[in-house]
Amino acid sequence: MNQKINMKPYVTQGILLVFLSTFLTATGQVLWKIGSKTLEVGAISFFTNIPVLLGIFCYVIAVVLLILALTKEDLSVVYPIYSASYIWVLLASAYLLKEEIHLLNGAGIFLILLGIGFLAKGSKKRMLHANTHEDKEAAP
Amino acid sequence: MKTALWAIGIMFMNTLITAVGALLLKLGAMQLAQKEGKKEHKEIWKLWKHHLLFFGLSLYGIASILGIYAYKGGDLNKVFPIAALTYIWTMVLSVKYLKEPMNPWKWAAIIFIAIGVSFVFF
Repeated sequence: MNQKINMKPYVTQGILLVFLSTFLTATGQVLWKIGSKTLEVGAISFFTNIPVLLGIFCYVIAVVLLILALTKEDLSVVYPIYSASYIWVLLASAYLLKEEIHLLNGAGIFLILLGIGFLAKGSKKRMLHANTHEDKEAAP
Repeated sequence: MKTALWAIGIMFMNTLITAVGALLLKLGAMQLAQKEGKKEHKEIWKLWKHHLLFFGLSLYGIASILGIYAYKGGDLNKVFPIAALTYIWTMVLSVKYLKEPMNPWKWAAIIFIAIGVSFVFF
């Protein structure tokens, strides 16, 4: 029993941070969409648009949380979880913004999520082999 | 609401700029790790002093502003998913400039994301 096994809890602090980040990202996008309706080109219109400013606030916090999560978790863990924001945005588009959603658009999101999952898988493989690979390259 | 072509174009530019921003952030982070060890990232407020990180973040900012204007031209559920193209450009840039290896999973990711995003046109 002395053997130390590197076991992490299933839901780590990093994963919770990413989840929080997905909600804030989605909230930011919805606020930006609402703000964009009255937005015109120009700094005054931009910086006096309350939803846009609130959206920036959400997005900045979301990015900070994501960076914090990345200091704790691998990209291959963070990527797929962060892609949940696509689902929240889809749901918010339907129920809050009352947008019309076609089956194909939902299917598109599904394919994107699958793609991000594949990317995570591909990135993980790299992590596993990275050490031997880099050692070879680093050798003079 | 039908998605305007200009909105798709602006969002496309957003993804390219974000991907370059991400590359700069990665290069900046690598430089940081080399120069000062791993302690510095705890002092987030000092990060702006590093030029690559600063430029990377600036590009994120510019891309976001473009994105907000792009939302004027279409439904959120159609315009926002275009952002997923960033994953493709980031992959391409990391393979080219960071020498990250390519593999079948990443090829599959490119194909699925590209097809998924193209559904925005329907």
